[in-house]
Amino acid sequence: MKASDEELIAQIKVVFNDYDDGLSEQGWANLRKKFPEKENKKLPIWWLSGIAASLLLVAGLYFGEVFNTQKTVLQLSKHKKHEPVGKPSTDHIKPQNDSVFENNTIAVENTPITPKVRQQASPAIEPITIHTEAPLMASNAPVTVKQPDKNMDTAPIGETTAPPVVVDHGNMTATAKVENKQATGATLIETPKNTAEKENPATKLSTQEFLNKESERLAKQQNKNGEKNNTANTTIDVFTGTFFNYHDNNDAKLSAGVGLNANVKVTKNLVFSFGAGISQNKVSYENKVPTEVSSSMFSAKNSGLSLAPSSTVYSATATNDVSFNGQLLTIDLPMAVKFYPTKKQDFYISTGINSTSYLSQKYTYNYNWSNFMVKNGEVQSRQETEKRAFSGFDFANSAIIAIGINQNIGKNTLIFEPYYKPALGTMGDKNLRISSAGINLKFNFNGAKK
Amino acid sequence: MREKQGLNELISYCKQGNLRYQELLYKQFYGYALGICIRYLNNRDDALEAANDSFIKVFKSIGSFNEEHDFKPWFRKILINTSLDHKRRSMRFSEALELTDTIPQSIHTSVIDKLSAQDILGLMKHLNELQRTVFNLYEIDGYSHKEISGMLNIPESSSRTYLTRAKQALQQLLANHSIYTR
Repeated sequence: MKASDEELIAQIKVVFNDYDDGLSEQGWANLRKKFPEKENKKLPIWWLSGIAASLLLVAGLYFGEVFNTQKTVLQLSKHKKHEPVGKPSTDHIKPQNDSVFENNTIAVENTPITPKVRQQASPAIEPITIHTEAPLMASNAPVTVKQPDKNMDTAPIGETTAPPVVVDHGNMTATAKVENKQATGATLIETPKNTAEKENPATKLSTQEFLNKESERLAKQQNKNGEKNNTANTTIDVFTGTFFNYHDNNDAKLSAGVGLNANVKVTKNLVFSFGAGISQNKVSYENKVPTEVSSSMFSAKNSGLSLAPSSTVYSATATNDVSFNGQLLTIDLPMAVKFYPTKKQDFYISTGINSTSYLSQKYTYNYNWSNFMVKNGEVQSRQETEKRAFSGFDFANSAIIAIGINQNIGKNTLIFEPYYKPALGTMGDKNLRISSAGINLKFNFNGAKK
Repeated sequence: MREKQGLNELISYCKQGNLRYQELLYKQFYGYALGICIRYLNNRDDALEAANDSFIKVFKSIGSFNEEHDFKPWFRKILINTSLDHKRRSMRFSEALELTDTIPQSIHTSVIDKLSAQDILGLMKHLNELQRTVFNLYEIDGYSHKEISGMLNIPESSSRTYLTRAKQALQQLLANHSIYTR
């Protein structure tokens, strides 16, 4: 080497050994734009999609229910018009239905009921008996008769039987018979006691209106009864979940998922639940990479070990020099048992297992390796990324412990389900050991109380 | 020794993620980092970007740094690799310029002593990217041709050739420079 070359090289080393242009402050300000990386405050797209889907679902079900109710009423009204009136039947009068009608008031002024009236001054005449077969579901349903006008005095005295009015609510038909043998006044209006007091003129309805209204109410009642009878069936949950993945003292990463669950009732308080969901799992090992992860990394064909000149001299402390980020798009297959401890069944405790299959796996790791054969053991940093798609299945790699709180929305149920999933096994190609905790927002169709 | 202790203390605070000490480390090694990056990138803005990216890598991975080793060589590796990454990204490894027409036999050494950073960068600009990179890696930063071959993905023989041509070009440029400055 020429002397001038050596001179030049020495001069370059001297000049550039500390090339401080006095703008370090500006340089630091530039660096601060990138570091430290700020957490993305925007909600992940999965999360937003989940919320949007849930809101749409709730809105859709709400309006759907309103629409269905109106439709039922309309159908019943139409049906009623073709129903023959006057077909008496007492088959369906049951004591348990009494309460349904106890507060109803019927104004019979438009009905062809003619009360029997007798003159008080006619001692020879037997006490009047009115047999009224009125459209009543209950024996104590009020029948109100307006004060008769004076012409009533001239009305023929004798027994009058009102034509029966039948209220037909699908399979429920009622006929009531009212008998009153008292006749103490000049004009006797024979009605059951207590009913006149309950009469509210403001709520007087025509028979048709009354029937429509009762049909509507009965339809609802029947729905409720039907639901109660359906408690043994299977229900479906749609859920969105937001959760944190973590391992030891590494940073927790926010992740999210969506899915479907089927619930099969086993006993009165026990439900077997299973389903499938898609979730995005992120994990970051900055401080301490588990041995199973690092061993998986360095056994990979293109990973750090192969870059080292000799595997035998690879630093034994290499696993401490690693930072690792994993992103997994997974199909989760949860199986759990839900136990409802209370009679009200407004919350449950759930436990089970979760298995995982992988749609995609992406791993990025930064690591330093040193070898005393190279550069006197200087540490060298490297970064690598690995991707895989549609591979792997881990059975029962996490347990499920959850509490669900039910909130009825119409005939359906909204469930808030905080949960914890401790890792039972590892996930993915790199044997990630991830525990997670989060909350599921579930929408339970069919609304059957489990 | 005392300086090393101070540096180790600084590093230990940086390991805790203390931003204040990270800033101190940055300012302490700003000139060192920029000096290395600018030799490879020959442009102050690009060099600053590479230096900052290197500092970020340092802050992120300083937890794995063993204080028993010297910090500077570890940091130098990061700086050089980051600079080469920037260079690859901008795809600026162009074909060599032919500057080997006439090679002066001797150059007045007093001229070399007076070369400033800007003079050297000015001279380096006349080299093509590969020549400059190989020259820097081999002559200034002490990499072997084998290592350079792996780093730049070129044959070792090419590395030697680029180095020779770089030196020849610099001799010629220096001769011109000395004539100009004399």
